Amino acid sequence: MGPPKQRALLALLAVNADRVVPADVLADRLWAGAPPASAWNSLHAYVSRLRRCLEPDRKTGAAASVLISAAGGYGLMTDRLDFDVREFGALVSSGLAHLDGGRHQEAVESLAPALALWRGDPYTDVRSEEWAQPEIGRLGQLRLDAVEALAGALLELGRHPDVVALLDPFVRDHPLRERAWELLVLAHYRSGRQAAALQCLRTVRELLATELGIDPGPRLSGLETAVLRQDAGLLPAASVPEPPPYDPFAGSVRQETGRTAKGPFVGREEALRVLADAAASANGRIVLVDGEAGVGKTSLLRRFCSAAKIAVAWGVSPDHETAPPLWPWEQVLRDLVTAASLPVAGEIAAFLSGGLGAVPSYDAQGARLRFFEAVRAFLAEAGPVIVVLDDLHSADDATLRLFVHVASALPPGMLLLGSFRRHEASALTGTLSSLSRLGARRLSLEGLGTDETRRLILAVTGRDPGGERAEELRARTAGNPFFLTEVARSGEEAPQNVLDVVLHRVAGLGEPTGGLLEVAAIMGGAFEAGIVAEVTGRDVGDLLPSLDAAAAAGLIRESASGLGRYEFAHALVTDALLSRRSRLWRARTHGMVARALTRADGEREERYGVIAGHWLAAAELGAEPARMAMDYAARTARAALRRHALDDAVVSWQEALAASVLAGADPAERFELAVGLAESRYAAGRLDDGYEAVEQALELAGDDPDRAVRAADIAMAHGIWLPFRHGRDPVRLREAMTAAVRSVPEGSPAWTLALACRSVALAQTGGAARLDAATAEAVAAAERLALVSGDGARTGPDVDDGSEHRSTSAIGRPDGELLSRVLHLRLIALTGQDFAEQRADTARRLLAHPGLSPQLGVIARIHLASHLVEHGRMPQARALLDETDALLDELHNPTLTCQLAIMHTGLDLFQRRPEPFRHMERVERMLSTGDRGYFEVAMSSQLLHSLLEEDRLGDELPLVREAYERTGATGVGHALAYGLARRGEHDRARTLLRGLGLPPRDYTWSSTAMCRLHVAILLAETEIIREVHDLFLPFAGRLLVSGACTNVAGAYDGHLGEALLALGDRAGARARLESAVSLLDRSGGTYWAARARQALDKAT
Amino acid sequence: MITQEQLSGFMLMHAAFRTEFGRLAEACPRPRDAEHMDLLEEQLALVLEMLHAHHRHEDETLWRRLTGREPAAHEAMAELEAEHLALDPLMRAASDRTTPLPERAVVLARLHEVVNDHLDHEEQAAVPLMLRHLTPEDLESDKRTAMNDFGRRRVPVIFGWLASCANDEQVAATLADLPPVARLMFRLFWWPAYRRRFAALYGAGVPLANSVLAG
Repeated sequence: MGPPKQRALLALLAVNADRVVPADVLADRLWAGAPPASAWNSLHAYVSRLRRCLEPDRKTGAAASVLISAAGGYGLMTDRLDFDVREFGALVSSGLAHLDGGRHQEAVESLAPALALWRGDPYTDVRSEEWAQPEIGRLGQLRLDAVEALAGALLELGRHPDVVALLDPFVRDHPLRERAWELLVLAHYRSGRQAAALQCLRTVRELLATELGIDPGPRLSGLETAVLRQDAGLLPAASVPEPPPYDPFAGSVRQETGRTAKGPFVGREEALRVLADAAASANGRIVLVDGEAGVGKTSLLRRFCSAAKIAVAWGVSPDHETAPPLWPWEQVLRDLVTAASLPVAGEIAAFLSGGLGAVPSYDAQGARLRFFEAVRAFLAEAGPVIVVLDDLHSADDATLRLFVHVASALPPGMLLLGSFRRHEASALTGTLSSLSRLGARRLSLEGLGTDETRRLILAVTGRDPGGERAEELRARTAGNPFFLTEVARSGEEAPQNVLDVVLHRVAGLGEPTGGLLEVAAIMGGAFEAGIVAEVTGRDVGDLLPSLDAAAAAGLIRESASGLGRYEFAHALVTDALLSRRSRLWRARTHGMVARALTRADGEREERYGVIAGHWLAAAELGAEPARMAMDYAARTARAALRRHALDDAVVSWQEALAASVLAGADPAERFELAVGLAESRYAAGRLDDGYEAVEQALELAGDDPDRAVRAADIAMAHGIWLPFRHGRDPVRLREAMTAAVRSVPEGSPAWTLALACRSVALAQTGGAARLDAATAEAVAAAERLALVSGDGARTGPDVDDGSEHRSTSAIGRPDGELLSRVLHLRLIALTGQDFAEQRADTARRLLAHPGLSPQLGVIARIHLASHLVEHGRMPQARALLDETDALLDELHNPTLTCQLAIMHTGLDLFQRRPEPFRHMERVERMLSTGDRGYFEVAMSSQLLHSLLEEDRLGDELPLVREAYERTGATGVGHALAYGLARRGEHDRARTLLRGLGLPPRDYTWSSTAMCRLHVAILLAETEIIREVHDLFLPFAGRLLVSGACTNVAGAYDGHLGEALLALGDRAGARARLESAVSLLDRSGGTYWAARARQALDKAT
Repeated sequence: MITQEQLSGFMLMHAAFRTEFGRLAEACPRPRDAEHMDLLEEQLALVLEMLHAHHRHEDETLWRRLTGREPAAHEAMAELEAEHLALDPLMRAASDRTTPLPERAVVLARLHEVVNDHLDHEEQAAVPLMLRHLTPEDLESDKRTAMNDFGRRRVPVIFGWLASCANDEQVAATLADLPPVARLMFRLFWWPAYRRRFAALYGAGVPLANSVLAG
């Protein structure tokens, strides 16, 4: 560019680009205020030479168009030049505008090229010239701003390494740029390097102190505190608000879904306000959004979350395919791990890595509750967070349970949001009523109004439809935004209903695309091009034009989870595509998809449910697909059990059994499925349903006694009491066990267990005579087996094929476990007051058993505590219960925890402690519906007893009568007779009493007999008094305990004394009553002690 | 052109609507306990949701399809659509949980009458047109739509409900029409579970509408 003055001239013109600068000004500047006489000539020469460089093609004599001369001056016109300075300025200013508008990707796309234009310092030739200073300064400042803006945009895009790479050298060169430091700190922090973030803060603090002698500004100071506190506000404002569709492709690590455009959003100010209110309030931080399909539930939630200043975790239940149970929660947890950089450990880590192990069925409910607790603890640790569970109407049972569980004690700072289709709400009745009890708000979305419709159409098409047309469209679509958008895209001739509109748009794409989309829809809400290609017998490459066309039409979009993966834009698109093909076509296509997926993903546990679904839909095509359906449904069931989804496992076992019929599976195979079903139902606490599956299994077991014993063992369950509904006679089980005892070698494991199971079945129907001897025999046999094998060693053939549902089977279990099982069954079989000592003895033996499961340990302690109470040793009983409480705090077993609450209540009632029912309130939320029936019986029995003690049965007659009519229970009948007698209605009381007999000698016998005695005393029915007196005599010296301390109804001696008093034997009565008073005083039974004293007064 | 037999799914739905509000109107005044009350509420919600979906399908698809093929039917179809609208307030009142369930029994009894009248009208006005103008493909597509409306979680209960309201021929026709896996699921699991639900809802004494499944 020639000599220095010539270069300076160019610089001078560039600094004043696109303006004409007078020649004298130019000369003045070039020669520093003292131009020599030759200056004009020199200037002219420089201009000529520069023109030759800048416009080499200019013909001689033609007017210059770049370095022009006009009005006694020269000017550099840059519009036909590659003028970096101008381009730099334009790129930076558009980059800054994008950044302001939150368009971070676009900002990066402007700012990065802008900075790439920066080659060395600008105007180096003239850097010491005064006239160049302002421009040099402006460009330098612009560049610094651009670097920081770029870093800011990269940070928002989560590109933390890029931010660090950009700013690390930058802050060294410009150590006083606080904004750059701030961004660098955030980048370190958000990529999990808290220490590096803090180091940066220390460095800048020192620099500022030494260089300028000042402290960092308020932003940096605040940042330091926030980093130390791990403040959630440091996280990106809209972290992971993307609701990813069910992504069947992702393996153990879900890909972050991209920020794909999701269409326009209009209106909903009121709904957004409700959500914001909920977020701001202390209570009511659970909101459920409902509405029709397509009304914009997801869009609303997405919109709300994108503006949130705290972390967002999002899970969605796929509408069209079988995701693994708890899939939505898995998404939520993954989001939190990512967004909040939380460390994961223990069960959560195992869950997220697919490493949950098999759970023994006796621990299934406890394990589920422990896992739920772990999730809640993890959520609490995440700090303020929004958790969204989208499309709950399609959720699996375990997901809904966990939703309620989390809602029941919402971690502080958490906002819990759910959505569901309004017209599928009846599927969620239980969940919704639990949530409404917990204070959840309902937010019902209706269609858009006319004005919003108009804005939506404008946003979709870019054309204002006008008010009238908007109203017409609103009326036609009920303002449903999905429907409106589809109609708007479809044009004038759109059909009338939403699915037809979608089909119309599909048809517009031509046949190959339509056919391809139909196949894709068979795969559900998301699909893989490779599988579609395989099923349609084409190359992926051939499909691309169709896929692109469908994507351009907004019917599908590329999935962020990987190349070649797509998802449908809305569940309604899938619905529409699936609506028009024949059953045969669908079955065949499902079959082809099943085959392709089995080949591709057949061993991936998270895909079992999807694969099973396709095989099931193809099962009618023949035995082979039916067998595959059976196999994969069973795999799905086992995987569900590992994920604590007990009821979901039940459904899969049922599907496996249905498929097994079509597959022509033999009874032995079907037996295994029936056993799986039975075990899952029992594990879910559904004893009645479970027993039905056991009967089915017994039938499939045929003549095989080993199988029959395995099935029977499941029906014994893992509780404290007889495992059958009151009044049910398990006749098939009893007969099968009788046959088994006869047909297998005496003393073998199968024989031993059969004997014990038969005893439990007999106990159910009151066959008490031989139970003690039979169960003692079974225990002796189990002890011999344990002795022979060495305790805990495995004996017998190991028939296990690796499937964990056999892990608690009778045969092949270690003999040590067999012994503890048989002891447990003896405890169950020996019910009622007749076997109190045998139970205590059995419980002690259980506790002495090495390697006893903690659950059985609790059961044994409950029996022992009950026995201590019978003997009036209250402090020891209470101490044992406290110990048991501590054990249960670890186990979370709902059935046992509730049982213990009943005991505490019973003892508190007896000892007249305040608020005895508080124990039940504490555990009530643990109760599943399966357990509820039993505990309500126990509670109503406690209620009747307290009414009797308070002498209020007469006042509460309607309540008692209603209970009696409903249950027909003998015990309640006696309470009613007592109430009638107290109200002076002696005739009716007498008629009722004479009509009622005593129940069998089970756990209800003693308290019913007690009540019978006192009605008889009120009515002077001497025969009955004498009868009960004689029945009670063997129990003299003890407290009257029914159940496991459900009720402690005084001392037998007290009742005997009152009976003798009524019969006129005052001396005998005195002796009994004195001993009663002594026992009751010792055990703190205030009411019954006072009552015995009163009777004693009468007897003296 | 389709046969009466091919329309059995549609007619079965009608039979179920004709029956269930009557059953509910009988049971709702006296729920045994809270659990029974919850179950009745759930059943009522289910039937109302199904009725809503049924009407929506008719208004948005079926009537338009029929008038498209026989324009003279326009007036009759508009009348039926108007009747749907007239049912809405009753349906809203029936589902309004701010009123205790027993007090809604009168609404249910009224709904029972009005739904039956409406269905009489519909079967007289629309069914002949359906037989004349619908194709087997239409029916297949409607069936898919109905299954979508049922939703995965509700299918077992809905099939149980339909079966509890069906006469012998309808049960046979419906079962024959189901894919074998669903048919087996129904026989082995859905129906036994629904029978328990039915007894819990209405008591053991209330008769089913057929003998095939009653035994």
